[in-house]
Amino acid sequence: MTYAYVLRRTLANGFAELRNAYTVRTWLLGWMLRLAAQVTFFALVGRALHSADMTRYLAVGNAVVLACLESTIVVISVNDERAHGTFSLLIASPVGHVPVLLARGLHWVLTGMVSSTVALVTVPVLVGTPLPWGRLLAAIPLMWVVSFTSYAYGCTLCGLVLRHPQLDWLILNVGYLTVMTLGGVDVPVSFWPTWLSWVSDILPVTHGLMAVRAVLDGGPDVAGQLVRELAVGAGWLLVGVFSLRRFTDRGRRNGTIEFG
Amino acid sequence: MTDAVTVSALGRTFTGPGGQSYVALADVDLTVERGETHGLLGPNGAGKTTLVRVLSTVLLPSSGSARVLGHDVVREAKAVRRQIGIVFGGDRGLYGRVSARDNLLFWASLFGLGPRAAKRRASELLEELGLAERANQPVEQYSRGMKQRLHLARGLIGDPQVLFLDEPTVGMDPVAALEFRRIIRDLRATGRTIFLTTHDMAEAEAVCDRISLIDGGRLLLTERTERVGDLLAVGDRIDFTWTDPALIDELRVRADVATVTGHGDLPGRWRLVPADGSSVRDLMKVLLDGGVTTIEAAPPRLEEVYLTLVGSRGLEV
Repeated sequence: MTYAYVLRRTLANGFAELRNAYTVRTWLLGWMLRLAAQVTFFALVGRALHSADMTRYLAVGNAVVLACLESTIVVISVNDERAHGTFSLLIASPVGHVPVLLARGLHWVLTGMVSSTVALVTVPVLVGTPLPWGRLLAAIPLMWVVSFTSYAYGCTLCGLVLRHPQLDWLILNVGYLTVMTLGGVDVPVSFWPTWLSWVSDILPVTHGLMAVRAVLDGGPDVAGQLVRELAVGAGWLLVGVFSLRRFTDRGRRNGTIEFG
Repeated sequence: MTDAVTVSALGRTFTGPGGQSYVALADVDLTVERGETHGLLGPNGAGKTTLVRVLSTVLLPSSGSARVLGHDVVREAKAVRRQIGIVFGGDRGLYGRVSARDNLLFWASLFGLGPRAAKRRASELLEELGLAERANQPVEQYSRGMKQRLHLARGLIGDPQVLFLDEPTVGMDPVAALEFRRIIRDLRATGRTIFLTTHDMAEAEAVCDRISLIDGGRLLLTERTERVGDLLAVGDRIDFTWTDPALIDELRVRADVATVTGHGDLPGRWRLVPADGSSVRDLMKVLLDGGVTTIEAAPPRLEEVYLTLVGSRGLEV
């Protein structure tokens, strides 16, 4: 009960923050359009190469990775807790800071689910490689799983951002671009040397995207890739919780947690 | 009954970026009784906030121990957190883009209140603190005084037994600060223990039962507010209004007068400090015989004690 209510109130705060950042109009014509343009840009590289398969590969990969892009914005929201001076109050509350910080950017997960879904539905049509509706509908829930596993990855990045608050946007962008580069978004994971493919294996998106592609292409091992994606997400979540706790323990010892 | 706060030989040392360490708290002993409003007074950097950080479990002590309602702040931090509320001064500590009501509901959830209890408690506090009419507005649209009342409401949301107020009126205009002090006095009537840090002596005198002075991380004294003046080991001062310099010169050479100095912002206001052992009554008679009609005798105020013990650093009266 307590944690469910904490989650609800934290989400309410997140949506209030979102309403202040965007109206429906600015979200659609500003943010959503910008994301769709990004996916379209990469998909058009396939068109420039006169390859329908490449166009579809890039459109799907870049639509799915939007889920990661938005979910990892949690690092900015968590960093805001320090900027608002609320971080020490969270620590000194009976429930503590970890549940709040873990839920602090969940509104970005939801917007990421919407953005990536809109992009996956519309961009392939725009670039001339429409996806079959039946398979598309089956792939969308898998993409939503990627939103959550990416969020767990973002929670780990939060631990870094709390230690280096001035580097929040850098950490966000490096974290996201690492996934975009190695996660099989624009080039297959097999393109990279073996040691880098090991890194790909533990990043979010990689296995979820493979599952999405397998559903869309009628490929095998959808369930296996989904389980791997969930395992990766669970792993990042554990690292994230450990990192947030460790930051606080150290902060209480060395006095780096601001008060007021 | 257990005291509200017990601090014993508490020390806290910080290590700076260059590796050098500095002492923020040194060997502090302090007891705050239940239901007491206790003021911790000192200049900037004296260690006031460091002590509150330790007591509110946000900072670990380097040495010694501290207990809140009998719970050790290190080993029983969770138990301490259930019993305390923290109120900051300034704009930090609130979600500016969120309404006052939603701010309170959020913090209520962190104190384990369910939706119904949270709504009821938030509404009560918004009403009590005069924020009900604008409860649904984003906090960033609030005045400084309203934000401070919301800070207080947030600190009270978990119905704490001990309330830490860390420089709560900093940056407030005088009218809002006076109103806030009235609220603190009302709170005292509820039986809560209030631990107030401030460098505003008028504030400390207005609301505190006892006062501790701290400087350089060391506690200099703890005394009941009305008895702080006794610590200077001198009697009452005599404040009077007079414009003729001849009388002032005459007073200054008397053996039973220690000092006569200008006092306050207005010209012609003087403060006479009697010499040790001399009679205030006799000196007042001298003043009356000299034609002075506006005279007031009073014990030394906290301001003088502070100036004597701490000096003028961070002074704000």
